[in-house]
Amino acid sequence: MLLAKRIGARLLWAIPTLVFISFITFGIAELAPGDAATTLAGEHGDAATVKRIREDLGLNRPFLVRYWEFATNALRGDFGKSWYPLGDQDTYVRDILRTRAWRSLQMAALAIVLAAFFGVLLGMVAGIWHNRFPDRLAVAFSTLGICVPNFVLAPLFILIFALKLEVLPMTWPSVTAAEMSFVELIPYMLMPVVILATRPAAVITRLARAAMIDTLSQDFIRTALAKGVPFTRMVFHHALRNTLVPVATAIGTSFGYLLTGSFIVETAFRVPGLGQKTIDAIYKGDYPIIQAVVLLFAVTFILVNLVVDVVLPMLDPRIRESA
Amino acid sequence: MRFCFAILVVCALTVVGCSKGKYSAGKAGEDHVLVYPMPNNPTKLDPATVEDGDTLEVLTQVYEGLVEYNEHNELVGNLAESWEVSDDGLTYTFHLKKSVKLHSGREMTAEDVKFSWDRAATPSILSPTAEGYMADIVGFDECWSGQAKGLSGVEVVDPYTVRVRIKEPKAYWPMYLQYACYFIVDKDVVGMQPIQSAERMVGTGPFTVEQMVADQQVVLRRFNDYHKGAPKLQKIIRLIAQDPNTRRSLYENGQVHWVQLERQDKQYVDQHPEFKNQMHIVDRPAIWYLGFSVKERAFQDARVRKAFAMAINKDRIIKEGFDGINQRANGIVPPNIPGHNPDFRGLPFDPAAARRLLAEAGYSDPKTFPVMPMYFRADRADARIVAQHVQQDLMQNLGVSIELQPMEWKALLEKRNKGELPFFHLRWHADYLDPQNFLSFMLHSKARENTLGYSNPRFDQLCDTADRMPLTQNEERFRLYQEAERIAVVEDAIWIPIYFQRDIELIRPEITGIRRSLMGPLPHIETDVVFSK
Repeated sequence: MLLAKRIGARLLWAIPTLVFISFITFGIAELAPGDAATTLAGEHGDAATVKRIREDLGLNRPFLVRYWEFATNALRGDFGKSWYPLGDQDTYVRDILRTRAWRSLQMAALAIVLAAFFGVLLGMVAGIWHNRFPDRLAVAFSTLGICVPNFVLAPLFILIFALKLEVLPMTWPSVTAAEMSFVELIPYMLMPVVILATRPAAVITRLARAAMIDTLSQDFIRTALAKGVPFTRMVFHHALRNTLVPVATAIGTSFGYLLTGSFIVETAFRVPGLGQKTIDAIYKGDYPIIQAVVLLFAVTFILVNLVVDVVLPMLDPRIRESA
Repeated sequence: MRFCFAILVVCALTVVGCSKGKYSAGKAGEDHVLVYPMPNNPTKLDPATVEDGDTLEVLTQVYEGLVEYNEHNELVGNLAESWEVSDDGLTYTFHLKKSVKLHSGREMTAEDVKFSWDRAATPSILSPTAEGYMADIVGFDECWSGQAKGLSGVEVVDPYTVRVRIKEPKAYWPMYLQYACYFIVDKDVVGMQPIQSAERMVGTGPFTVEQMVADQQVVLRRFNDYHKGAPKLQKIIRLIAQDPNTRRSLYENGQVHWVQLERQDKQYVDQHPEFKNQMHIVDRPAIWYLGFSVKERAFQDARVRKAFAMAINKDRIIKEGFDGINQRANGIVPPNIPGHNPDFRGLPFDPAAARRLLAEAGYSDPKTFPVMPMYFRADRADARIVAQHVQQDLMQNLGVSIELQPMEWKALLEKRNKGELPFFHLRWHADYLDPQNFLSFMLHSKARENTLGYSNPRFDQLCDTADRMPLTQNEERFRLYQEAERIAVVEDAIWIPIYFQRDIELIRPEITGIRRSLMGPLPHIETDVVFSK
């Protein structure tokens, strides 16, 4: 009951949050220098052509009128047409998002699973062998993972694994990907997913390590060991659960990083996802796509954090009781 | 623990060993299939609306015009076999080639020419280039404003003859016809709305559009009934790769056969000596320059502008910034364009004279000169290189501070169109190979492109006279343009030419037959790629 109330409250709060985000996103297009009609008219476009394009796109209507139309259409999942259509499949923003969102969400989900698994594992190992070689290795990895950005890792991975070792393909397999199964696509997804997972894994390693060190120093652990509970059972049955609480929170916040990190990774590896499309849209000033992507990311972020908030009390009853 | 770690390492090495070489992905490719990248999706599919060079390169494989530039940069007939101009220079009669097939299978006729040009001049197409390149045709204004349907100055005489009347004699007018807005489309397929799908991309070019997958690739297929004979290539695949590092890596990996490097990336070739023999330096008809707006009070005095020009060390910019790849620009008209003056020296690099000029203009203490912003494209590393060098030179050699203002392209374009750039670094790329396109087009006081407020009656008069002279008097015509260039660069210093663009390309040795004009690669009629020899 309490859980249902919490979920309900969170969903209610999501509505004004999304309205605010949509207003800001729509408004930024107005405030940003560089009129869309000017861009579409290009270097040669004269004032008359710019005016015509503005009228054709409806940009000469009042801001609030256009925002209202955008917001009400967005509720129906209709974000209008791209200003740079490239064929029937690439005209309506809804179609463009549908074909690409799944790919990006797939990679983000794989990345977070990978990050959580390795982050927790490394964190546990570091905590158990605190101040010894495994701990130092884990700390080194987590430091590098947090410090080295995606745009450095991407060309580095391409150089090592695709060009020098030739063990992984360099980029997405273009149009044949549609005919390939998920398993066949794994080699093509490996580098982008690993790169996306690196920073979240590093953060989770740190958190898991700290939680593990803290938990293992607790009296009840000492008591359990003294009573003859096997070490492995003690770690996995008692200590691990405490470790997962901060990890779950980190997963929620990392999702936002994964969505934005996909911009660089998808561009470098030519993955036909939302990130690559958004970069293309930003360069061209294709605002219908930019606005739709921002809203979609906002919705995803809100939902993921809602799930995290639901899962946390399950992991730690103390959170449930204090709520 | 160490034992487990060791096992992990051995497993990893085993996986690597088994997979090695599996994704070496075509050190050889498929014969007669040319693969090369482009940085973005095609922005437009309609020749009446296209502007950017990358998209244009795709469309020139699909559509054609009545004329084209050949490998010697001469304007020659393409869909037109020949043409005549009346004595008064106002009427052009084009004789079309017979048996030219459209991709739909039908023969192209004069009706298609009339339709294509009327279409480009129709407001519903929203062509950004029509007014710049078609306004000279009689009847354009009425058609463009929607008062008339079609260009009254374009007449179908018979199925293979088109007559065009222009408003005033302009010897260079036929050069406009090689521009995309004059490309011929199939009147039975295309319609009067902008082309937004591959199915409606029907022209007469050597290739048709087989497939267009956004963000992935554009595939062009050989058109076997092409009027100059079927091309040797079966297919052209343009992979979309936004990141320049990715494009380079695709070339290294063998997945693409031809790549253009960023101008500041020559060191990439130096680091990969195996590509030295595959490197080609290609001239472009483009100038990168610094411009002043005389609407800005600080730049109204020509002595200030000249001082700036003489304080900038162009040779150092080219050597340090671009490894000497680009060519120093003394004047405005690039080399290989008829009318280029190879003996023109422009203003010298002379910091002492620069300081004297600045003092004469009232700034004996350079610190009293206002700190001006210098605008340039934020997304271009080559523009930033020049901007940083210019900032350094002006501080060291003149004692003047400028503030670098990188700006996103759309915003920069808007400011430029409004004439709100006091000092900036931009490029101008030729639309056709004539000095008129660099001088009258950009700097005449009445030119649409002149948003600098620049006005010099002598410059205008020279350009007006030269613009009206026939091509048979090119020697005198070019002399007038050269004098106008001297006024703009030396007397008025309204532009500071920095360098003429050269591009670096890597091309696999298996590719043969690439034809080029100064404007870029010509349609790939003779190009072939054979790996299996």
